[in-house]
Amino acid sequence: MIRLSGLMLGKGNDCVHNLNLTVADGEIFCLLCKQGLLRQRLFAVLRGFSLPVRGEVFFSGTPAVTGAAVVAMEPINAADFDTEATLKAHLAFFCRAARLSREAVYEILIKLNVGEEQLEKRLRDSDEETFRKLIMAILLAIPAPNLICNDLIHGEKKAYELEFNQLLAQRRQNGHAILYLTDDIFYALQIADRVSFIKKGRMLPRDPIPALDLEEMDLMRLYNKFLG
Amino acid sequence: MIREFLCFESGRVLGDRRIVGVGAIILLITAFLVVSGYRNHAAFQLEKQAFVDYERQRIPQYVNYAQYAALGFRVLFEPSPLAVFTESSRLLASVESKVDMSELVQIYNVHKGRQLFSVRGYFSDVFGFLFVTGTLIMVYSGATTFSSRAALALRMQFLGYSRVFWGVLLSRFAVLSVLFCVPITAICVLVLCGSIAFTPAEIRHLMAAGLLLWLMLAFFFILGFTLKGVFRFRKHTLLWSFLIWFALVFLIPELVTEYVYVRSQRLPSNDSLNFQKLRVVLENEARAVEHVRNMSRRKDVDMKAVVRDQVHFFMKNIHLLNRNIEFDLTRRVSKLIRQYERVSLLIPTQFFLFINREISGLGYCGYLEFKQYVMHLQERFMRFFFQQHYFHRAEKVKSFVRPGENVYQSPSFITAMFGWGVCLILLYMIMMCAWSQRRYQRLVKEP
Repeated sequence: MIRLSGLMLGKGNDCVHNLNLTVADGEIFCLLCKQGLLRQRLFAVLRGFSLPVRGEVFFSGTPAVTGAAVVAMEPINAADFDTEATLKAHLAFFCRAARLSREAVYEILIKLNVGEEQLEKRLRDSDEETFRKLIMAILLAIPAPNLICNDLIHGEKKAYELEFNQLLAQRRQNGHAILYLTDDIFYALQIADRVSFIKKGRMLPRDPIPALDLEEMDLMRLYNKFLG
Repeated sequence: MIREFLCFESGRVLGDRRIVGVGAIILLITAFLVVSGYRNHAAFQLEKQAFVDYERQRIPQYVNYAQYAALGFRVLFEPSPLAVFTESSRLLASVESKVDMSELVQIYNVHKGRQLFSVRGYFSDVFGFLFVTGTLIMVYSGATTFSSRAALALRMQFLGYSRVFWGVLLSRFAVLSVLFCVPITAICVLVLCGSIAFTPAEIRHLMAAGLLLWLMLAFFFILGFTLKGVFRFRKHTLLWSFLIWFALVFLIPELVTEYVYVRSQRLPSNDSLNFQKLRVVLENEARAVEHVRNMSRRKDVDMKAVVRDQVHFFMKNIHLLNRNIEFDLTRRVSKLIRQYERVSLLIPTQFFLFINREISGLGYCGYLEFKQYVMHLQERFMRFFFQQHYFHRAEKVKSFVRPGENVYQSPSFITAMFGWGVCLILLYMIMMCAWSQRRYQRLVKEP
């Protein structure tokens, strides 16, 4: 379970006041926000990199301890990483660092259609998508009960998106709490159980909208009202 | 986890074709420079033998001691065997001195024939070359240690900030150090096992120079690493790193040298000094001639005794006075050298160049010792001349120089400030590491 209580962070236009929100186990919650910087700030607080001005973040009833109770996922670029190392070297390093069994990672990699031969390549010779899948597999193999994502599949190919959706759905079935930050209302409709918006520093509406209700709503009107 | 960091970083470093390619070229050039240094040493030994033989055969050709006194003999400056590694940064390339009865202390470079080509660039020896190329590679490697904020943030999820920071920093430097040190140490060991005999002190000094080179590599690695933090992972970090490296390795040492040169202009010129000494000698000569003339007019005066008295007077007063003029200059030069050393202490690259020069015996300490040796020889030669010319009246000219005395073997020097310089470099490194640690943490955590 992820619980944000009375969270206040940021200043000026990029701020949030009194954010109260609970993501139950086995639920995907989409928090929609137009401002990328604000999403970044919130993500940094959720993953434990910075402290909020006020309020608290709880994961499964315990204070936020990054790496133990929660896994944070954000978009990555292969160019930002060490391009001279092979994907296998990256895998070995992260498995060791996160104390993961390689089998657990390979299991997810198979679902993502990444073969052994693709891991033998150096990152500079490999394609961007394979590396992203590898990192995703490593992160999803971590047996943490909570997951937070920051606009992870924005601009990705449809096939990649579907594979990721399947993995998210599987985690939800396993009873994990998933908080997804994005500005894409159409994607939120695909994956979320409940959605909410952040506009002018407030969470709107105060009671999150269940996805089933969202389907019946006029999305364009919602978009213009909260994200436009 | 250290093993994992080391494995990952060695894969990264060895996977970087630029580093491996440049490293291989450096190794080849280093080997070439060692062989070249070795051959130069052998060539110098042959030249030294020719010098000694020529001087030995030249002296008996003098007709009398007056001729010997006027033409004198030469003293050759021989660098320490460590010049095999640090030869080109020499201050005293092809240096000789002429010792005669004039009160001048003559130390000069010979630029004739092949000796014209003996002065080379600052960095064409093993240590100088490794210093330039090694620091360039290290500053590049330091600046590419953490490729991006995202890569650091991802690792932090698993390991925590401090473990990632120190793990990557230390393991990457360890891998690069091994890549640099193992082949170089092997080459040095091969040379040490060769025909050149190094004294234990020289081996200690060689190890100290090796340690200093390694420290310089570490310094530039951390500098590159720090600059990446200063420029917030931006792409132009590499350009700035290169510019700062260039300034530290080439520009600042040149400016310091220029500063010292400007300060050295306050010293009296050699000719003014010589003129001062000449005036002392001429006044004494006039006085002595007058005195001898007066004494010769008297009866019952032993003129030999009068001349001897004048010689004794010259050695006890005039020569001492001239020596003091020379000592005064040496004192002022030493003071300037100490200032130079103190300024060098503050700039690691300058400090390395200073120490590198002293290690080979071709630096300022070598010069001071050589000058002292020449002055000592000159004083002894004067006494020898007076003895032979005025007191013994020997017919055949005997050589004053004992075997090996006209070759000055310069020892290798480590200045007293070496420890302070090393401590200061370590302090800079610790400060940069501490600053970087806070800086990277802030960079990663800010949205």
